[in-house]
This record gives sequence, C-alpha cells and structure tokens, in this order.
Amino acid sequence: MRRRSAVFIFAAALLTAGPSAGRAEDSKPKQPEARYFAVTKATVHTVTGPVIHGPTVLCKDGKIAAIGHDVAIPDDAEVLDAEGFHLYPGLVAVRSSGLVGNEPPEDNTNVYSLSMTLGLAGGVTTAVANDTAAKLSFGTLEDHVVKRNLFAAISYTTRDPNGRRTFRQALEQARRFLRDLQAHEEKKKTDPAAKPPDAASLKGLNQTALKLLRHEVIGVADADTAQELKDLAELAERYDFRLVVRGAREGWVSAAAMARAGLYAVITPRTRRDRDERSNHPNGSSIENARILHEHGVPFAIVPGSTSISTSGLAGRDLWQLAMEAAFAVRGGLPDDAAVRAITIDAARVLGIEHRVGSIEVGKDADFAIVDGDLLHYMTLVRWTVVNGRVAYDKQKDSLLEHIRPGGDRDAPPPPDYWPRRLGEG
Amino acid sequence: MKDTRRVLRWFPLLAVFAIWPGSRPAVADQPQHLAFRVGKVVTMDPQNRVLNNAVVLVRNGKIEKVGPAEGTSIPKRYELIDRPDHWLVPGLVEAHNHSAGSGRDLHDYVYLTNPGLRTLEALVPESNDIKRARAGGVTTVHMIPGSGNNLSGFGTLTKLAGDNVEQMLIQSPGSLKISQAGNPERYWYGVGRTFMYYNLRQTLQKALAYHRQWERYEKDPSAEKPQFDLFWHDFRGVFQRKVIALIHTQWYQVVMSSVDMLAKKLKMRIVLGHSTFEAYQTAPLVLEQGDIYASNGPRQIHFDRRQRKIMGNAARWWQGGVRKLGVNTDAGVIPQEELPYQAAMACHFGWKPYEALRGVTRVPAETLMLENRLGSIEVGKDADLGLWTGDPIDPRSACELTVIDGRIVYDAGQQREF
Amino acid sequence: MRLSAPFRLRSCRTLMASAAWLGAMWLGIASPGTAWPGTASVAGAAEEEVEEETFVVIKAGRVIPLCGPELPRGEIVLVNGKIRLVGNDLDYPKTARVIDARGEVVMPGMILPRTRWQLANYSRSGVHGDRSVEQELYLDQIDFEPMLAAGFTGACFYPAGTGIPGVAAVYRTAGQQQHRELGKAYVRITMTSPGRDKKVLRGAIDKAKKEIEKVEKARKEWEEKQKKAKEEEAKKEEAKKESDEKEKQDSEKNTGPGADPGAEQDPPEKKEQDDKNKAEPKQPEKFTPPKIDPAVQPLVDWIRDKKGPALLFELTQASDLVHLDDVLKQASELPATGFYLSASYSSDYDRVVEDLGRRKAVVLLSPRIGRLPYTVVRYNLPGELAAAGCTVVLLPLADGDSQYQDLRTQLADLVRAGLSRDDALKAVTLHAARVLGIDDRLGTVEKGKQADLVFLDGDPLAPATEVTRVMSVGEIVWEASKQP
Repeated sequence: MRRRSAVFIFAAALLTAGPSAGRAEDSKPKQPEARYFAVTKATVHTVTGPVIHGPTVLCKDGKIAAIGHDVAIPDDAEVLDAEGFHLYPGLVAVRSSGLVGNEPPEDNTNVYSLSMTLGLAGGVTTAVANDTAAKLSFGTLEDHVVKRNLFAAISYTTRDPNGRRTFRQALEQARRFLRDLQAHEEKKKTDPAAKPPDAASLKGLNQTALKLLRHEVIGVADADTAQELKDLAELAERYDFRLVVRGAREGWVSAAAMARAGLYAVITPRTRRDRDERSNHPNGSSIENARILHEHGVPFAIVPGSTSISTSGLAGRDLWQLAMEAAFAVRGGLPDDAAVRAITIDAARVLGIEHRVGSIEVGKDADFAIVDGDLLHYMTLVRWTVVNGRVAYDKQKDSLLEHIRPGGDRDAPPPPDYWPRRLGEG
Repeated sequence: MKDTRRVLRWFPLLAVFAIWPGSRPAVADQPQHLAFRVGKVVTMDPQNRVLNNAVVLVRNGKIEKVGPAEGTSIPKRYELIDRPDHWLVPGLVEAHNHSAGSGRDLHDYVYLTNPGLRTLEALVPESNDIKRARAGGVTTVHMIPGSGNNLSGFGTLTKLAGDNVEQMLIQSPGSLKISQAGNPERYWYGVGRTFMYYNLRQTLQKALAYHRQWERYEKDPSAEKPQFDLFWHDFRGVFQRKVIALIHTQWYQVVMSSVDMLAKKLKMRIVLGHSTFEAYQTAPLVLEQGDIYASNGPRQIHFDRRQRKIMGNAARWWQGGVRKLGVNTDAGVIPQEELPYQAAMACHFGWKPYEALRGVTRVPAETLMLENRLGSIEVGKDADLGLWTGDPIDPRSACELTVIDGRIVYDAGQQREF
Repeated sequence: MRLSAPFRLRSCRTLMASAAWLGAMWLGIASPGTAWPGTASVAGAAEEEVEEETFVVIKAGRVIPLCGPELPRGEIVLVNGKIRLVGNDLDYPKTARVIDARGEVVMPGMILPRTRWQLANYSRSGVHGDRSVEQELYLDQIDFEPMLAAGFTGACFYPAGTGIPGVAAVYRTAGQQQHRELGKAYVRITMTSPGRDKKVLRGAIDKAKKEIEKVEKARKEWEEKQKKAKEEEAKKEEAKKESDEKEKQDSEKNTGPGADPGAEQDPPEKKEQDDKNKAEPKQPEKFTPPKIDPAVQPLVDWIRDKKGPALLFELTQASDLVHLDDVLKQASELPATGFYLSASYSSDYDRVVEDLGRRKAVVLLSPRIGRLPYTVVRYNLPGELAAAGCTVVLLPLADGDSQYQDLRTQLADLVRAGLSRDDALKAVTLHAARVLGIDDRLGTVEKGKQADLVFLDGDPLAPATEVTRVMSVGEIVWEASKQP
C-alpha cells in the first residue's frame, strides 16, 4: 500500500503544480488566488485505484492536486482531519429532480435549498437535471455546471412502428451521407476538382442521427423489455453509436447483446415487475440484473426508484439513500466495489464526465463523500461532503442529522422536543 | 438438497399432500427433517442468545434442537443444510400487511364503522406478492383491512405458505382494525375527528354491551341466553384481550386518544399501527399504559419542522423508553419483502441493529400474541426460518432459504427472487 | 442640491430684529451648551443677510435628533423652513413664531422608502433604465393622509415590474407644490427569479458595454480623423513651405538678371487651389459621442465612469444573492450594496447575513421577526443585519393605513429582540433618506437640514404613542386635532 501511494505522490509532483513543486520554483510569482484544501488521515477509496489508508488528499482550486502520505500541506490550506472516516468520491446521480435547478442550472439552482442539503447528506455531489450535469455546490455557483447537452433522446420502440422506421431511415441516410463524404475526401486526394456530396441531401438529414454517427453526442433511450433492449443494442451496434438505456429492467435477459453493442445502462436494482408466466420467454425484473450486466461487461449507473428527495417519511427509496440502492445490487450478487462504481465512476462514464468526477485521482474534481463506515452499510452516515474542494455539508454543523450518532454514539440521548404548547405556556 | 430445490418453487400440486403440523401425511421428496449447520443463529429467545457455529434441527414442522455445532450430532434422515458462513434467523413477522389479498378488497367503504367484516375471505394463497415476501424471509403476516373508514373489520393472522386459506391460516379473526383520523376523514364530507370518536365509541360500547351480556350468561347459565349476533360476536375476543386491536393512528394527538379511549378506558390490547409523525412524543403515555405495542411504519422518519431535524421514528420511540417496538411495511406501501429494509432505515436514522432485527421477528410475534409459536428459534416453536448470507437487515444480504413450518418454501439456489 | 427658500415679504422691523439677533448668535455660539454641538460655524450667515428670514422656534418636550443625544426640553430654531439651531435655551429673535410642543416629542419625519400606494396596477418587464415612476404618478391623485397620520413626511414610489423596470422617485407627503418633488431615488433591479432575471441583467450589461464600446470606437475614429487631418495639414504646410521656398528661390532666380517678368505672379489656378484648401470645412473641434441607448444609461454610468445612480437589487431568498453576484462577475463596477429583501415569515437570509455585512450593504426590509427555516427559532433578521454591519432600512409590511400605523410598534418589537433603539429609529428616517440619496437634506434634526419633522405625544416606540403633528419644510401640514 505504501509503495502505491508513493507512486501517487510522484504522479502528483509530475502532473500538477502541487505545493512541493510550487516551492521548487519559488522564483516564479506565487499565484495569489490558489485555494488549498486538504483531507488528512481518512481511508481513501479511490475507486479506480487501491484503497489507501491515511494519506493526505491535497486539493488546489477545487481539484485534487496530490494524494500521498508525505504530501506537504501549504500553510494557508483548510485542513480536514478525517481520522477514522472513509473518503469516497462524491456520488453521481445520473437522474435527479430538485437537487439542482432546471435548465440552465446555473440560473435556477437554489444553492441553499433543503433538497440540495439532503442530497449532500446522502453523499451526492453531482446530479443531472434535465440534460445538464451540475454540482451540488452549496452556497456558490462557482464551477456549478459540469456538462451540458448530455444526451440525445431516442425513441425506438415497437409501440411506435412509424417512429421506429423513420429513425432507422434517418440513421441509414446519415450513414450514407457520411460515407459519401468520406469517399469524397479520398477522391479529392487524386482529383482536386471532385464534386462534394450533394448538399441537398445534408439538408434533409436528421441532425440527431448525424451527431450520433459522428460520436458527437450520446444517445439515450428508455427501454425495459428484453426485446426493446435487444433492438436498441442491434441498432447501436449496426450504426456504431454510443447509447445509454434507462430502465433496462430485463437487461439480465439481453445482457449479451447489450455488451456486444457497447451499451451503457441506468438501472434500479429494486425495480419490481412480476414475471408474466404466460410468456415462454424469460421476463420480469430480477434482483440479479446488476450482477448479470456486470458479468457481461455492460457498464451501468444505479439510480433509486425516486430521483428526487422527500422528507415525507418513507425512507431509503430516493436519492438521499443512493448508496442503499447500490447495496440492493450487491444482494443480487454484484461485487461491492462494482456497486460503488455504479454510483461513482461508472455513473460518470454514463454521462461522459469520467475525466472530471467519479474517482479519487490527481487532476480530478475534489468531490468527496467522507463517511463514518462502509459506504454500502445501512448504518453509515455522511460526515462531510466536499464539492469542488469546499466543505458543502458537515453533519455536526447542520441541525438535520447532528443528533443521530454524534461522534458515533449509538446511545446518544434524543434532542429535546417542543411539546405542543397551549396559549400562555412558555 | 437437490431434492429440496426441485420441490421448492412450483410445489402447488405436491403441496396438496404437504406436511402440515400433525395432521397431514409427509410428501415423499420433501424431507421430513432438516438440519441447519450455520455460522450464526440469532435465536431471539428471551435470553437474546446468539450462537456462532450452531446447529438447528427441525422435525415435523417444529424446532427440535438448537445447539453448538460441536457436540450436536445430526441424526440420520435429516437433510443437512451446511452453510458455515450463513446466518439462521427466525422467519420475519409482519404486523401490518395489506398485500396478502388481491388488493381490490383493501377498503370496504360501506359504513364509517363496519364491525362484521373480515379479511379472511380476501386472502389469496400463492400470489406473486406472497412469493416475493417469502423471498424476503417473511413467513407470517397480519393482513388487515384498509384505513378508509373508522372501523374496517377484522384482520387475519396467516403464514405465507399454503395452497388454500386453511393451510395458511393461523387465526381469524386475528385483530380488530380501527382507523383514527387521517384517512377515514376522507370518508365523506364533514366527517371530522369528533364525529369519528363519537361513532367509534358508540360502536364499541354496543359491542361491549353485547359481550357483557354473554359474560353474564356464561357466569350464570340460569340467566337468559343472549341471541347470537355475527355483527358483534367477533368483538368478544377483543374485550377478552384474546384478539388485539390494531389502530391506524399517527399524530400525537390521535395517539393520545387511542391510548386513552381504547387502551385505558375500553381495556383493549392495542397496537399503534403506524405511530409515525411526531407520535413518539407520546412515549411517556404509552409507557405508562404498559401493554401497548408500537409497530412503526411505513414512515421511518419524521421531519421535525420545529427544530429542523430528521427524526428516526423507531429511534425516538426507543429513546423514549418504549421497548415493545417493531417496524412494519404497511405492504404494499413498501413491498412486503423489504420488511428488513424498514429495520435498516430505522437503524440508519438512529436505532440499533439487534433491536431492529428483534423488531421484525420476536416483537411483532408478541405484538400479534403469537410469541408462543413464532418469532424466535426455540425448541418447540414453529420451524419458520430464514437462512441469510449475513445480517438480514443489511440490504446486501440475501435470503437463501425460507422455511415455513419445516418446509422449504423458497430457495434462492433455484431462482433468486429478491 | 439646494432648494431656494421661498421669498417672503417681511417688515423692516423684523429684518432689523433678525440682524440684531444674528449679532447675538455670534456670542451664543461661543458659549457651550447653547449651540448644537459640533455645528459648523454660521460664517455664511452674513452673506445671507440679504435674504429675508422667517424664524420659527419649536419648543419641544424632547427632541430626538438622531445625530446626537436626545434633548429633553429641546428647542429647534428654523429659518425659512431650514433647521438653523438645535439645543437648549437657544437665543432667537423675539418676533419668531413659537410652536409650543412642550408636551410632545419631535423627531425627523419618517420616510417610506418603497411604496406603490394608490398607483395603478401597471408593471413592465425588461430593461428600462430611462423610465421613471414619475411618468405614471400624479401627486394630486394620491391620498397621503394615511402616511401623514403615521408620521411619514416622505415617500419613495417605485416602478413595478421585473428586470430593470425603471427609477424610483421620492416625494414629500404634503406641503407646497414646489417642495413636493425630492428627486429620483434608485434604479430598481430585480433578482427575484434568477432563471428569468439573470438573463435580463446579463443582456443589459452586455448592451451597456456595447454602447460604451460604440462610443469609444467613435471617439477613436474621430481622434484618428483629427490626427489625419492635422497630419495632412502639416504636410500641406510643409509642401507649401517648400513650394514657397522654391518660389522664393525661383523668384530670386527669376528676379535675377534676365528673369521672366511674367513669372513674378502666381499662376491663378494655384492660388485658387490654396484658397480652396483654406475654405475646406474643418473637423469639429469637439467630439460629439453617438447616442447611447438611454435604457442602459445607469449601467453605462457605473461601468464607464465608476459612478452613477443608486442601484437597488431585489431578492426573495438567500440564493438570489449568489445568482446576482454570478451576473455581476462580468461587471464588477456595478455596486451590489443596495438590497430590498422581500421576505416570507421563514426566509433563509440568515445564510447571507454575514456576506451582506461584509459588503456594508444598505438593506431594505420589513420589520418582521421571522423564524429560521423549518424551525420555531425566532430570528430577528433586521437586528442580525445591523449587527453584521449593514445599514438597515425598514418599511411597513404592506401599503395601507393600518400597516403604516403598525410600523412603530413593529420597530419596538425589533428593539425588544435586540436591534438597537438608534438603529430602529434611523431605519425609518436617516437610513431611509440615505438609500434615497436625500440624507443631505433630510433624515435628522440637524443644522442645515430641512425641517421635515414629526411631533408625537410620547416616545415613538411606545405602543400608545400617536402622531400629533407633521411638519414639512417648516410648515405644519397635518395635525391630529384637526382631523375629523
């Protein structure tokens, strides 16, 4: 473990202007604006790398600058001693509502909302609203938006045969156009006067189809049944575009086809659909869906049944307990680490933002869920949530949950209550 | 083991001849006797024993022996289920279920109080909901009518295995269902709490008068024999405290009235069937009454808007000193198979794991007055068991085998359902 | 800005008396305790001798000047509607009219900093920095009686709508027509719904910057043209010089022996050309900038000249401030220091109190003790803002008779909950005047300020106290005893 972290330090020194590097070039004028933040002594679950015990995770201007046991912390750094706690990448919610504002989130997010606070209390640091991924940047709009125009929505179901045919034709047309274009490029090498492909054909082209084929955008489709999933997989494979399927309830039936086509999935392990015994095909939901997809190599993100956050009382069924939804995938046989990936790095991959969030690596955004135990355990509570190198949630400084196991004490007394008071009572 | 698995999922035809305690002949390929050798047995007995590396023997639908693996020999003819890394826990007991029926008979909005109704007739054996519930390790449920009216009839105590109601049934009437405030207020325009209390009290007083008449006659056979009235007769068990009254009651003011009217004045043995929102504030009253069980759910948290705090309901009841405390799903509000997850959420928000597991096994068995048969792994009790890959309330743990009355009714090895 | 005092016919005797009194004044100033502490010398008075002066003396039970300690049995000397002296046992001409207010408390008139009392239900959205509420307001159609009865001597009307709906304007609630208008107050900018308002404000800022660029470009072009013209001129001059030189030489040559006598004269075409050069209209000396879109003029003023009219930003929740700052990143010249916090009972401004304090913001809000969101914890937002370093301006919960009347009671509540008495009283007088840009004239009982005063029958924060009289520019304009 030690050796590995040494590698990390080395990487840090190479890749970033970490403090040690900064000191080496003292002659250069120091950047006055640099904002340092460090978490020390936590057990760091890097997700894409090893688990490191007790390193310093140094962040500069909202990015991870260095990870290691010998990282020097600048004097002006804000330091968070997280001894005894586990540091995970901030969780990524690939669907959400109410945590960040509607499009465009930077103009609509209430940066002090209760929903955002509860999302942070659940360890979520990145959430998708409509078609934009944004940070739960409590109290600030700095570096709020991560990525816009995440997906191009596709409808390709047997319920709409016309739409299905039209879309297929659009893809075909777009492919022909791209082939013509390529042929033209080839021809131009020998014959500079070669005629480019008919511009008129470009005009009638379905732009979504064109963008998909050019890999400029990720397609997204809602599909649950094995047949729909298979159809979509075939389409994506045939026309070679990137596609995310949301739902994928019967992914366990179509996993092989999905894997072949390179599909990504967004699943809810607890999805509940009874088998139709009249069908002689395998059907219905399966708690083993996640495991089977995983074993076939289909990357997926996990979302809970409800993608908002509610305080109405039914606990553990929305984004607040995103980690618990992942735990249900483990029940179906998914390895623990894959379950964690499904709400961190793989979720980031589904959104195409894996270079920014989803793991603890030098150069990535400093988004952490610092928790008091195994992330997937039902007793685990988030102690701090860090977004862009700032503490966005601190359980003991926020009234919401501070009374629950303060300092890990399972027998902590209840907070004093306000009995309903009658008129005249104090 | 293989034989077991083969039988297990699609046993309807076989089950006609299935073993039933005492009375029915054994089926050829259903092993009569089971032996579990497991890593941990959580007995939930009065001593709260937890045995590591233990053996549990099951014979004729009952638990025959519980002891350490070392020193307990497994007799011949016992099918050995050897899972040294698994946990064996009592079958889970649900004190508040609406999903063992068709779902279409949840509410009968005939009158605001409907004393004659029973859910017994609504039971649907081997429904998908029941099969799934078994996959979650749930073996017994208390199926009650809905809360659409003030007094919606009598509930049913049933196991989750059997091809017909007779095979499943534990007891009917299993409870009286009373709903105070909230939902029944929607019964009709103008139905408010005062009227409901009046109406309820009047109905119960009439029932009590009927009961007293019979009591007099039973004490003194020379007295005139009262006329049998199906409408009121089921209430006799309630007033004899042989049948519980499950109360849909949530807010503190309503819970106070439940405690006062039903437990204190009418001396019924009541169960607070939701006890949610800020009801935990009535803990001192509930404690003082002494015989009240709190079955908390489906809401496991309450957002206290007076101090901006998220309260774990179960944790708050516990901290208030209430020990007769379990959790429920109100299935299908929460799917029945997620009963242990309700316990997990209660823990997430401040309760404690062992107590929470007890709150879905022994405590609900006591709540339903079935503790002599269910809720713990003790010699002589019904062999209702769940074999788990680990802590049952951890959502990562899966139920591998569910046993009801000594029969394996779910085997994840054949097909995992949850 | 100075308002000229009304000229009045006065008898010669009065004039002489006042001159005599002026003499006495000089002496009075020297003795401590007579004059208002710290008042500037009245050296200018001699110059004003020519102006006729009407003296009014208010003998009050107590004066609350709000720029110094309260004065029991205080006196206020007014000259032509302006405060000349405040103190005890002041000297004044015998002829001065004395207002006996020995049973009353006198304080600066209250100012309502944000109202649409009796204005038509008209609003506009978008960017209208050139519009003013003056365009929709007819003073004689507004019944100011409820304001006067509550002690308001001034009221600022605002243009309704979202975005930058226009400029607010202040008026006196009574008095002579020529005194009524107190000028423009602030430009109203809403950030009450960031999703909508950010776009508008961003657009306005972009537009303002483009207008500035446009002017700069035109100026540059003009300067270049000027430069070119100058250069050309210089060139021509050079050329002329050269040619002159040459001519000279030539003529010298020519005038030499054997020269052509005809060459002595300039060729006529050349001369004509020179004349034409001279006659060519010169570039205008002064640069006339292209017209700027008046709708964004206030923003242009701030961005280009780092000064301009006061801006008042309206918010509905803490997050709006973050969104406002997000927009103002692109125009840091715009001062985000004036705010109106529209509030519900449990708004979450507690999140940004510190921030507002740091920027020494002037904050308009209702005098409401709310509670922290999702709690029953009382939260004195005005008090917290004042403690954090903000200038707090308070206004009634809504427009209307009873709301106006209730304001002083609500102030008392805030004082009980921790706001200082001084801050509470200033919040409806001096600080209100400051946010409206009229604190040079109004807001305190202080030498040199105009005499807009309120008379009360007790302490302004006592619950039973009522307004007895209202004075505007030295004239009693409302009296409780004369009300029906």
